[in-house]
Amino acid sequence: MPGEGFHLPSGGLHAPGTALTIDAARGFRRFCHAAGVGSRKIISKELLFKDVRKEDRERLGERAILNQIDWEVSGDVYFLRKSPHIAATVAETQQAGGAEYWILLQHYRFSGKKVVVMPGQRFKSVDKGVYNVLVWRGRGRYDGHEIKAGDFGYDELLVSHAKADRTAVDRKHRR
Amino acid sequence: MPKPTVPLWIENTGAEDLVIIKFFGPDVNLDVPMIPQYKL
Repeated sequence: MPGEGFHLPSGGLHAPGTALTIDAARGFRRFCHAAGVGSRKIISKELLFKDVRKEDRERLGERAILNQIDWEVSGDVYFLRKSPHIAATVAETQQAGGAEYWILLQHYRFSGKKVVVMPGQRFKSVDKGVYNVLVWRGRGRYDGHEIKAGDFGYDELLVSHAKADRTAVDRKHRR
Repeated sequence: MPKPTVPLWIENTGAEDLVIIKFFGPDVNLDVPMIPQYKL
């Protein structure tokens, strides 16, 4: 359904979805590309073993990969019923020009928001720290920077802590 | 907990809705409403 999503816990076999996929990864994440073909191209089997120690690969072979997978998660036939996501409105940021919604509602470390700004309108965006921006649909300006969905040069931004928290910059310049 | 920052303006200059996804790193927003995973 439009606007809905689901959360796949760590250890589950997964692939990019047909809509928007956000793959939250931490520094200790292990990478394993289990598909043999992608975008009609053969994918190197080395990517299957990218984060497997040489001695484990020699000793266990492909069993080293099978041992990394959470089979309870990957084989759960009730997965979609257990983890539906419906975006929650952020009440304190409601404005005439648009709306903001919490997404990623089952992840206890990472967080995300969807912002919808109506044509010809502006939205005042306030957040607590550094974040990535993906322009999913439409075009406009983000703090003066041109943005456009589907254009790889204009559809992503990083709002740094120094940019978002100008009081920190001011303090640095006063020293 | 991180403190609120200064506002940035997002402007829609097109003819359709402008839809943006913001993605935050670990522990930036600790006040997000959570949906507990449904137990069958």
